[in-house]
Amino acid sequence: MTQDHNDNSTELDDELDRKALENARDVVKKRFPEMVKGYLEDADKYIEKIRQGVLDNDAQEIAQNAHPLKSASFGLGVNRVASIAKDIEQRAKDAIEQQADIDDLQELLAGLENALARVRPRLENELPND
Amino acid sequence: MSDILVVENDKTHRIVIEQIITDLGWNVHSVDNGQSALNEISKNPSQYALVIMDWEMPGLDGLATVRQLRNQQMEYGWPYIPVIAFTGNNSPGDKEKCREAGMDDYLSKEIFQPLVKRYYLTDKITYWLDVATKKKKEQ
Repeated sequence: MTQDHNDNSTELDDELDRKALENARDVVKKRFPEMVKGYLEDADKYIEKIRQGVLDNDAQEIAQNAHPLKSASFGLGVNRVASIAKDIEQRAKDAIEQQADIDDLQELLAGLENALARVRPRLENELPND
Repeated sequence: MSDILVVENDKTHRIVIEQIITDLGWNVHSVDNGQSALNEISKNPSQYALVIMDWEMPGLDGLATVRQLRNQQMEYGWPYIPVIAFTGNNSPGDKEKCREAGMDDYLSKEIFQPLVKRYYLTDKITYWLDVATKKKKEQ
């Protein structure tokens, strides 16, 4: 998860794919603000459950919550969150398949929380002021 | 007029699919888990022309839900309702798992993003609504 923090433009593109976001806006039209709010609420909920799953070494719980976070994030163009969620889901699924303890996910989880924290204000900027 | 039931616990996907169905001119009703879907259908088994069902949901998942639905339809003589899996799962064998459980078709969640794939989604829904309408006339 190392990133060249001097390369700000690349980093921002990786965080939020505007084309995908505009595509989503085009699909849902007036419900776009509701969808963005819903995404952020769900993302918090999924990350909380992943965090709990890591504490409990519960790979099933981790995979079940990383999976929808991954697909919803890809749908809205929140690509870094999607990419980390995908890695977490894969690690959890590997652990389930091998009936093994899940590898240390603390670093990925911290990256996930950080990625969401960085993109949140950009998504909130898409909401109307009320 | 029959409605379309959406079973999806993720708000982002639920809103996308609801809007696409509304744009097609159908009424949509949504629930966020499998048990609620079964309860909803049991209230009026002929209300829904089509069900679009998430696979991965907490509690009763999409595959378990459709298995129960198919059993109940057989047991109580309810009309057949086509069920489309709406899922982010796209590993080899996933389509077969959906069909074995009683799903009629499979729709990847990744398809709603690019415009061309969104048309594919619309086509698929339209196709199954057409099938459901014909079946209803035959019954």
